[in-house]
Amino acid sequence: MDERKGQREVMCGNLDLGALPTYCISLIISFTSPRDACRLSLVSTDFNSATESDAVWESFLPSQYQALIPLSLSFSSKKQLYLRLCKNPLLIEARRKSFWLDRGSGKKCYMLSPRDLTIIWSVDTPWYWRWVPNPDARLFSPPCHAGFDEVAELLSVAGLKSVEGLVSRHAFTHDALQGLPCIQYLVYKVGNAYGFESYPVKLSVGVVGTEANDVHFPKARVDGWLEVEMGEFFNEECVNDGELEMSALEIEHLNPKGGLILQGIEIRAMTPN
Amino acid sequence: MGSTSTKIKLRTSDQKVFEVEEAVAVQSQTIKYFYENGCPGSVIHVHSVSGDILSKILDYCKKHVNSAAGKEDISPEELYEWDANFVKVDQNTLFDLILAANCLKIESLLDLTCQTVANMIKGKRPKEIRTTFNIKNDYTPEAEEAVRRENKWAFDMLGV
Repeated sequence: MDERKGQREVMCGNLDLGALPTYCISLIISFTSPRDACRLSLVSTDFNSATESDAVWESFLPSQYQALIPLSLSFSSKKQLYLRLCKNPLLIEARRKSFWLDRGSGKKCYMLSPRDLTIIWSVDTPWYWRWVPNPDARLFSPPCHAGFDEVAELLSVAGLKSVEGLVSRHAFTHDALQGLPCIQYLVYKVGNAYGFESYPVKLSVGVVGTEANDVHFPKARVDGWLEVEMGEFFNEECVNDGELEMSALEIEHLNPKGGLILQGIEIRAMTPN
Repeated sequence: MGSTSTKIKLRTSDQKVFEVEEAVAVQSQTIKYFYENGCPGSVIHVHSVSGDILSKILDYCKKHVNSAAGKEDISPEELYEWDANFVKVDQNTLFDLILAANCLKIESLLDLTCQTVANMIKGKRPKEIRTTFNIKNDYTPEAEEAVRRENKWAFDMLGV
């Protein structure tokens, strides 16, 4: 850890930022954001060394991050660890959820795998939904697919009904997401889809019990999947018995549909920029 | 605070002497250390801080001590507002406050002043930061390019 450099003569007049002790510069940088820190590295060589310091990147990592990372994960600096947690999601809770950091802000992000969701008609009815190996399981790079082993493929169903997920409140305690508005997204792909010709698909989605009828249009993601916003929530709200409930997916036209591959529900904090 | 306020004497870099209430002075961990480990009644030399800056810092400490002790009826919002006004100073004064808060080890003041500088930096291009804070770019063009490449993602949204 950096030590406070004490005892400097205070001079009036031509003070510049570079004249501040390293500890103060690190502290200033840690009050900005990971994105700002990386930009600052270009200001001068002194700034570059300050922005690389572990003290700065430690402050951008989530509190109690040690508990989240596997012991086998090796890293040479806190900045490297940070960038790794942005790039390589960690599979947690028996590989059913995935966790990573939003690179620009350091905010925690989660994705719930289809195995972690309650999907109507997915149990004992393999002609509606089937479990297939995730074609992209090995290609990590967020904000992207989370590396789940399996995804759910919709074969044929008259109308998509109710995909629900629960996330433990613990996931949000003492962390960067707490108190921040979050957005959930349904992440999916359309392979040999049929029955979705009436694009844009109208979804009625939202937190369980408060489904809104907002129309959200699917957006293409850089990883080749599609995502559609399900809704916003403050995570103090919507918490019921320690769990945050969210739902649902429902399509207006109940004609037969198929070919949709569901990767999961993603939760990201809203970032100002 | 027990016996109607003991006073501590402080002498600044420009030889000004301040008589300060103990509870206020010991907001500085450095002064607290010298006070507890020095001769009773002796003057503590604050070599690195000028009279003008120390006087401002003592205002800050007094405000926070009084508000914490309930001597002054001030809501957290009002104190926040007071802090915001406190750091509305020119850059040199702000940096002097940072240096002094660092030397005197007044954590809350160091956080406040560093946060203020951080707010001046957020979302700015490196060039703007150099201009704002009078910093010389000492990179060779090659080294600058290498650092830019390494942190490319952070510049994407700025189009720098």
